[in-house]
Amino acid sequence: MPTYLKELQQGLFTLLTNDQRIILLGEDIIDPYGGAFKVTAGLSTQFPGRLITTPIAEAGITGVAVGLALRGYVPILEIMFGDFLTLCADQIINHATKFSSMYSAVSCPLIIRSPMGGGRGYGPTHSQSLEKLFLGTPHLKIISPSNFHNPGRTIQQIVQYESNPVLFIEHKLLYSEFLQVSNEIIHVNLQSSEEGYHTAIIKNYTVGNPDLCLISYGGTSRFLPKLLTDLAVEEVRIIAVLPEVIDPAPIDILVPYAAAARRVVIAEESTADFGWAVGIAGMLYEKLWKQLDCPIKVVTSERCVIPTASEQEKEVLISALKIENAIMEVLSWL
Amino acid sequence: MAITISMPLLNVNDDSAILVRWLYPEGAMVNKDEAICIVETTKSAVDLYAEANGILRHLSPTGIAYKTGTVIGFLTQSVEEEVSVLDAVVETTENPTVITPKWTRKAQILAQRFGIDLNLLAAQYPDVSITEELIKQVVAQHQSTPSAEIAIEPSLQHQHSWGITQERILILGGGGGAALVLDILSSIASQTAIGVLDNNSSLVGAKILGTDVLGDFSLVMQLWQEKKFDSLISTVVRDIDDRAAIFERFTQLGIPFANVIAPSVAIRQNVKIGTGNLIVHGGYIATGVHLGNNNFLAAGTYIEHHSVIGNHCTFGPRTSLSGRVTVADRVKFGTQVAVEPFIEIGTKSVVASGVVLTSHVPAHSIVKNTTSVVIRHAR
Repeated sequence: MPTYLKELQQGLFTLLTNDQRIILLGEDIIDPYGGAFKVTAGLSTQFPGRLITTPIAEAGITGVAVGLALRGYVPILEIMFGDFLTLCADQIINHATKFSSMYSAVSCPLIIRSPMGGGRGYGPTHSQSLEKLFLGTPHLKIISPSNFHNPGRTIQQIVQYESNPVLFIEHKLLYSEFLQVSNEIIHVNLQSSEEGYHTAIIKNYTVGNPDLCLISYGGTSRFLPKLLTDLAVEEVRIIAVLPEVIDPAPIDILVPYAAAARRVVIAEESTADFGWAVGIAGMLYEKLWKQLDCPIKVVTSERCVIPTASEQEKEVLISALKIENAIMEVLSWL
Repeated sequence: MAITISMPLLNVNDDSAILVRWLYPEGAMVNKDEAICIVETTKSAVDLYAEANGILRHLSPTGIAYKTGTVIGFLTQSVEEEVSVLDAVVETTENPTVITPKWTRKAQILAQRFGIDLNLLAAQYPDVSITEELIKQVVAQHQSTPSAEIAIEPSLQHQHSWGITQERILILGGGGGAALVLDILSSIASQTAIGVLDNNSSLVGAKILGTDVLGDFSLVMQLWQEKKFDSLISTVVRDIDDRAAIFERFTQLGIPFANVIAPSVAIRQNVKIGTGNLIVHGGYIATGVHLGNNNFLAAGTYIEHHSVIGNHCTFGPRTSLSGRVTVADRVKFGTQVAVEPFIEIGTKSVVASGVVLTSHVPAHSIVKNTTSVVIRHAR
């Protein structure tokens, strides 16, 4: 069974093989190290000259990647930890995403890959989920496949269809996870958008209506196989909806599932307040006013610096238990 | 017995490390705290040290990553000593016992939604796990037959109609609670007190609000056989286990307990009340509440709608429960406790006076408000 990491490596391998415009940049991405999370392991040996290992200067290397994109390459830049994307923000927000609107006949097909998320005891500055800082940026697409998606397919899809910058968020804990497919209890369907991106629709039941619609993305998917299986035993019917494109969110795909369940929980790993989950909740309220049985419940991590000590980290971060409690709270509404 | 050398957890980022090389050959004598091999994580290479003097025995080839905890070698007392990985295998003879829950969580949610008492339902269906399907059947039955058995008609119980046959009540416990009961009974036409029993012999022969303390609890059986009373009420509240034991002992003997409910208590529609409950003036039992047996509700206890109270609980004055609160058995509330909606309180918990409960309370908990401390002495 393929892991998330293997599929992503395979996707990059295929891109390097088939598309001469592809060039990979990042800190320590070449062999023998192969990147902090080994996503590019082996590629510099197989494709000499196509991977550039860079100095530790995130703003600078983002600028270089922007230049390559403007000159006809399709650069895939790795930022070793998503936390360092703060250093790239100026290049992304003030430059890369603006060029296609400010100048005629210019495109900037830049892909920035970066791992986010906690759970490995990396501490305050290597565990955050900072994609929320970039939400709502014009001409920036943020994509974060879960392990119900195939990240290798997704990155090829991006190269094929996008002419503007894409932020590609990988959760650290997903790398070693197997890609999830249907089993006797959990039924996975991938619904395709017009652009060809997938939203994973996961059900833990076969007949009847869902009791609750759980909306989430990215690394939160690691909790779902066990959580949905456990809840199936308890006869709690969940439909989980995980879009891989998180911004702009495919709200038209989400609405019918939320409407069918009438009770909604939205989960994300970032800090509480002003994040993706509340944004989605706002859009759903607008579309489904008076069609829901109770308020939408948002589950996030605490609005707190992430501790290094693993027990304390667990308390702060989102967990299967926190999601389960939110589900029970919403179902307990009359 | 050989000492195992296993791959340590060197940093939290790595669940495995590479055994780079052994620093001594197979069969070499090594001393305690001497470096014996080098292992490498993604961050650094470190030495492993011998835990004791002994002969180094290699088990694992070098150049390969091993998971944390994997046995990579041994320290033995002699070269001949046989070693095998099996020595390191920790026996796990876990025999998981499968406990079948009495109901699914979905059933629990639906029962709460439809105001069904799951404990009663579980008693009716002792050998099955209660599912969504069963709950739906029960709801359908209730809808087709108006729920007369759940509802009690409070007005009938308290009506002053002088021709009524009075229920003769024997009061257990001669403390302040007995006075409370006697005071309540003085304004209820349908119930009358025939006497008080107390295990404190100094009270025997005394009168409480004009009613005799007849003797100790051993008199119950005799008075019952002589048909001197119709039912019991317990005013024992200091020790909840004691209160529960008294109730259980006499109900097992077939002696019924009465509900003594002050006329000013508002009991609304579709309330279900067991037996042996004492509800003092000013109480409010909202619609859909299920109250078990042998509970004591002091003055002004408010139980909001669809809350479920177990058995043998005591409530201090002015304690208020919001809607859909669940209280297990033998819970003790102090004075003026406030409980938010949907809160669940586990069995044998004690909630001290003035506490505002905003989260669930696990069983056997003691909850106390820590803010009410003396902050300064005035002189």
